[in-house]
Amino acid sequence: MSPLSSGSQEEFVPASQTELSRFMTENAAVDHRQLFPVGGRTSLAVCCPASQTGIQLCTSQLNRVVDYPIRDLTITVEAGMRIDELIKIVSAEGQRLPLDVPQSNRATIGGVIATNINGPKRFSYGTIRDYVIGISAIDGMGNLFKSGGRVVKNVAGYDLGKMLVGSLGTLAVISQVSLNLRPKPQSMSMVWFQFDSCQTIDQALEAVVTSGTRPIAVEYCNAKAASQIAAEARLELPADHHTLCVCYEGPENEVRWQTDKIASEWNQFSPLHVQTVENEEATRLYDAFTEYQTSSDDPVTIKAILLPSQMMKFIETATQLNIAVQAHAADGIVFGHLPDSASSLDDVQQIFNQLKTTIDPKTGYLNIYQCESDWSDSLPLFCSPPAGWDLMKQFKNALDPEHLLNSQRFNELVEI
Amino acid sequence: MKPGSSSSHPVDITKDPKEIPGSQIPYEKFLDCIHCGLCTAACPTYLETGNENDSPRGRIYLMRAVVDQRVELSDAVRGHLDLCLDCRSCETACPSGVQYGRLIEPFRVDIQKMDARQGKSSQQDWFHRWILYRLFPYPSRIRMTLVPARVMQTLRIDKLMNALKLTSLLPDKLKRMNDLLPRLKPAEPDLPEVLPAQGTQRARVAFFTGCVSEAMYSHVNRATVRVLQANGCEVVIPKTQACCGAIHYHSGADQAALEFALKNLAAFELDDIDAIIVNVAGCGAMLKDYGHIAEEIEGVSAEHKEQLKQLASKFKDVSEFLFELGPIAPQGEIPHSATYHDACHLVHAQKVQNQPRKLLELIPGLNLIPLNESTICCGAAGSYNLTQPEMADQLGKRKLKNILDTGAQIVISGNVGCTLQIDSKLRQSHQPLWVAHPMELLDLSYRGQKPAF
Amino acid sequence: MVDDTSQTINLSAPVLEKLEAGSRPFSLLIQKLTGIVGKTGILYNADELLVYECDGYIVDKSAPDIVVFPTTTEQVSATVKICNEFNVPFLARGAGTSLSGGCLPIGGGVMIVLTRMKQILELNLRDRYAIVEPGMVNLHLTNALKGTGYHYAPDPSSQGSCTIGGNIATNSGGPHTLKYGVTTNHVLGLEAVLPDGTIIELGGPTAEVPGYDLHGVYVGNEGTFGICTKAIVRLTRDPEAHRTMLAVFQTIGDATRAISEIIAEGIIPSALEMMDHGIIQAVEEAFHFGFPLDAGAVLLIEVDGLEVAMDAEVSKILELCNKNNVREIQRADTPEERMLIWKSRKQAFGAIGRLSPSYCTQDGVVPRTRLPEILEFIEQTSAKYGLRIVNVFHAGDGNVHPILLFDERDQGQIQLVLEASEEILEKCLELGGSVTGEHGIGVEKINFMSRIFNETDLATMEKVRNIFNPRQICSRDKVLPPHGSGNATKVTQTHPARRAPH
Ligand SMILES: Cc1cc2nc3c(=O)[nH]c(=O)nc-3n(C[C@H](O)[C@H](O)[C@H](O)COP(=O)(O)OP(=O)(O)OC[C@H]3O[C@@H](n4cnc5c(N)ncnc54)[C@H](O)[C@@H]3O)c2cc1C
Ligand code: SF4
Ligand code: SF4
Repeated sequence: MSPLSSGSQEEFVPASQTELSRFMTENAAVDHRQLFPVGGRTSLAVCCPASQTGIQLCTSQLNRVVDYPIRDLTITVEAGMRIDELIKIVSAEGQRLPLDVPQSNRATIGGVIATNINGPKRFSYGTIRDYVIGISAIDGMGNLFKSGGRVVKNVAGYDLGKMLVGSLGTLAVISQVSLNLRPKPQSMSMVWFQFDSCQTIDQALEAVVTSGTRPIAVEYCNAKAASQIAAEARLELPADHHTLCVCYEGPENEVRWQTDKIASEWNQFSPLHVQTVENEEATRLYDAFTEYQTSSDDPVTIKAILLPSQMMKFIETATQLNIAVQAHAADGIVFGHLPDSASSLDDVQQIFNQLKTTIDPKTGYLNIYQCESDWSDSLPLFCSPPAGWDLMKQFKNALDPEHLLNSQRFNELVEI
Repeated sequence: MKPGSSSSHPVDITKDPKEIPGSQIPYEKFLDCIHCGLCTAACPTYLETGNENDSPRGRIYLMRAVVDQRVELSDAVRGHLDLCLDCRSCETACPSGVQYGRLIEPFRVDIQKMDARQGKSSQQDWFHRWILYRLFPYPSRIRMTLVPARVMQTLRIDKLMNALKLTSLLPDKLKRMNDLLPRLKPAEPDLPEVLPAQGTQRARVAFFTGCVSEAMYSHVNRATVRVLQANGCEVVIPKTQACCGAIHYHSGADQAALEFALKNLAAFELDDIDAIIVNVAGCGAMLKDYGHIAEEIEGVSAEHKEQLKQLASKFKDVSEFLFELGPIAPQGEIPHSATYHDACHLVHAQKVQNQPRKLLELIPGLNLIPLNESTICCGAAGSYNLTQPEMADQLGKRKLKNILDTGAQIVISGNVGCTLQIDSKLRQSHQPLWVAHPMELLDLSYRGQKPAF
Repeated sequence: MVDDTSQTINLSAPVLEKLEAGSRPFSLLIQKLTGIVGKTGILYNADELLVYECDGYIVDKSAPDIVVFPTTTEQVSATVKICNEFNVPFLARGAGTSLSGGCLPIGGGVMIVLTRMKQILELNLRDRYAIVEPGMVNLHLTNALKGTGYHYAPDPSSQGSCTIGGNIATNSGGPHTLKYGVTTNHVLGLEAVLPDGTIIELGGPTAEVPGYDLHGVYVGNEGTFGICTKAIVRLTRDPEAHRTMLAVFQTIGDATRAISEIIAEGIIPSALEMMDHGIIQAVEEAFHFGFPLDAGAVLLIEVDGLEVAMDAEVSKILELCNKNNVREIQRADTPEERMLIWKSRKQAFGAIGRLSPSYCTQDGVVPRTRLPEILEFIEQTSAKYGLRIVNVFHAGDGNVHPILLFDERDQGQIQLVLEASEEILEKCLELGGSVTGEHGIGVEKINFMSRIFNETDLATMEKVRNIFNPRQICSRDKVLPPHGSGNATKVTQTHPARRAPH
């Protein structure tokens, strides 16, 4: 499946930020062509439907390390830096960006910011918004601007980095980022629990709130997703029921104490199966959880953002609809891979309508996360306007007054 | 530029400094305030009104502006200063060591004096003349006055009067005083002048009996003395001791206050006692301040200043003293839940906060539940209850809510004023909690008795 | 106070009305506002406005013409609409602890004080958030959570009195930011009244919302994006255990290296507070804690987490301190001992008060490893100007707070303090840092903005400001310098702030 099949999109690969800025200034002055910033092309199907015509601004050459004062635990890189590359560089110094990025061999840091990608660790470490300490970007008119700086604590000026988080390339092209890093933990283990019902899962999750342990991540998956994840991790894990998988990091004795502790805490909910996964295997399992949100080749992947307390209601319905469900359960973030049987837009709409009945529109969102590129023109990314939507439009108008940056997509974010 | 000042001060040099309240206060004391605002949320009145004018920082700013003649002492400005409880919670919160009490107290004395000169003194009204001056300083008189109340309570006539709303016929302030009256216990016989230590003698202390407390809470005084004895203290109680003078000083009658101080100076033999024990926080705070006050009152001889300073250093709150002495653990169980309210004049004025808690923790079976906002004034604050009824009520209710939230059966307070206020609020809302002095509980435990309430 | 002629240069800010006391529009405005907040919710007489002429920053003063105390979002919105109708500037004030003059009503106008909006609207432990009104005192939220196992993590040193609304406006940090982050990391959403009176919601109680992270943009706006009327904040799990240590080092360099090595080991201390030679001497003179007078640096290290992990972390830290020539280490394992150690840190400021009649605290940031350089520079600056400068600061994130001691009655010294402060901040920038880590730009550091950011950066920030506040009717002349050269519409700084501890 190539996302670039139908529309006609040329490519521009700038060698430097100034070159990119110059190109965009000219475009705004003369050509007025639609521009699509692209990084690792991992999310293009949704962000930048192929049917559209224009120029892809490819950041692949903007991949330098600008500054890495190792002991300060900060790094400044250009926005096209691939995540696996970044991991390699900081990992060599015993550091990491505590963020889970699927397809890290393709995804770029700029893309991670624009799509606000994250994974299981968000429960304890937050998301990319918490790690960007400085940013440079080029707005629709070609203005190269920055905010923040290279120190971890800084309140000079407005925090423009935040507006680019989740901006899907519609406000400005991110060109350079300064990030806050963390030291790598000594060890990691996961505990795989099987429970009999959504109700029990809900009770177990409620107990996490006051658990004596401090989990790094709490992942849920239903039977359909669990078997795929276990298979992906090449592990023999029972997957017939609802799964909760809890992750701990730190010194070995601390991790072991916690894996034992959670098992005893959750004993009251009569798990059908409890299994601790350690070392290499734990890493494989963890990676499988990270990749799963994008890994499936189903027609549509949905993402629901819910209050954790309201999540299981949604998941129960989704499971009944034969959707493979994974959730960052303590955060209320749910991914659902629609079944192959959803083979037409109508089917998809119907599933949506059923799911929506379980969501309180005031505190929950249902979005398209990935989809078949042929459908992306017909599906709004956000099924309901997010809080502040009117202001978002004003941001768009202020930074990209001529609507040159991935603009059709922006207009379609909510309505088609 | 200093916070609160324009470029220079004072502006109008022709004005008689006597007409500018606070002009005698050493200006450095204002300068200690760096305007950081860390004290604001510690201030009960600010918590209630949210108005900077009702905050410590705001009041210091206002007083200083009056001294600098940036503002007149208008009714509004005065109102904000009058609303201050003088609880000194702000002093505890201040990182800069501002002595707020040493600003507001002399400032108020100045205002009262100015008023007196202009013939609109509060000292002239019947309430101040009769109740505050003639009655309060003298336990015997208070006790006499309370006789009818006691009789009424015994015969339940008070209830009848309340029910028939007859009390509403009383003047406002008397009515409030009536509302405050606790269920009185029969007055105890007078204490002897010397009481021996139990067991090995570990200290020799004098005991300050206080006027209101000896009249209304004589049983607390008895309990305190017994606890001291149980801890190996010989206790002497000079008959010639007098009221601490706090009420007088705070309402501007500084000469009267000085007289009381000198009487006390004469009453206590400092040389052969280890400390003078006080069990009423309000009196303790005043007594410990004798040295400062002597500096501020006009016409005190150098010799008296020195002696009063020495006298002041001998006063110890009973909990403070016992904690330092090393308390003998009591054995009797008191199987109740209790919560400790920090009297302003203990925690803020005397910095006595942990000691009473540590003592109470020694009592077997007593479950101490932390009180939210325990250091925020209950609204009693001396005669505040009578002069600022509205704020006093608001703060009383706030305290009541916090107390009821703990679910405790006993409220512990180390100050008569607080006890009166909290007790009255509890009665008004028909709550069966007992308001006890820490010494009452310790005494019961030493004697192996259980509380009855 | 505002020079109207220079105001017109600022294209985005039209001339706003100046209120004449006693004039008809003034009376009418008072009448209308009283209609909204009631008689007990408004102040307009000069004697009661005086205390609102400055906040924790006392160099510049300007009293508002009217102060209102709204109790609901609707009242805030109605007030703002009336201000627009009368074309009168307005701004928000919380507890007034700002150290950069954030609450200075330049040009007078209406001050909207939020201290009466202080309710907790919802506590939800299951979903780990609280919804509070903006006037809620930071510490009161954490107090309300006592016993639940949760707290509100951002704890500026002013937490006992500052408000959540003020924290959001200034993106407050505090001693625990190294491990727990600053305010923006803990704000999930908010409600605000825009400068035209519209009520908007950004973010929400869910872990994220689709689209641009606008509540993220809102945090740190220093009061220029309208009035925050509700905040949805993340609640954080209480640590199970603490360990606190006080380590005495021979040099700042040793102490800084020890910090780096501790962090490299995977241990992120919850607090890392450093006192330099100068302040050690001051503290000793005043309180006699028993620090060696010739020590170069004292480091307060605190770790928290699960009890099982504590002892291993402590011995690792001890080992690394030893490796870096620590002279002595004091450990606190009980809550009482912990209090005692923190007392030496907290009393540092009381000690300064005893050394000198006036002092001025700066707020610069450098990359942590550059701490020895900046401290050496500060020492040189101290020698160069003949001023005593001492340092006590959050070392973990490189946020220095040099304290310049002087006597404000000496005009000559005042000038020296201003120059020395400026040089130190310049040096922070040169070392790759910032001129403010937590106190904000406000009016105080507005002149630095054009040194940190170029024209395009500032223009983009202005575009964003104009989305919220196009007429600059809300908290005018803050954060962004008016463009069109160095036209000083601002109050110019003539005196260093004599300011508070952190
Ligand atoms: C002793 C001391 C120690 C301090 N320590 C720290 C520290 O460790 N870390 C730190 O970051 N800061 C610190 N500060 C600075 C200050 O306390 C913080 O900036 C605090 O967040 C301000 O809160 P406040 O309620 O006092 O706000 P204010 O001072 O009242 O206002 C500050 C700014 O916020 C705006 N504002 C207030 N409320 C709202 C609202 N509801 N909506 C929109 N705008 C609003 C105001 O207009 C103003 O611009 C310290 C200050 C002092 C005096
Ligand atoms: S805390 Fe102290 S220094 Fe700060 S404003 Fe209050 S009184 Fe002044
Ligand atoms: S003494 Fe009490 S009431 Fe008065 S300003 Fe201080 S804290 Fe407020």
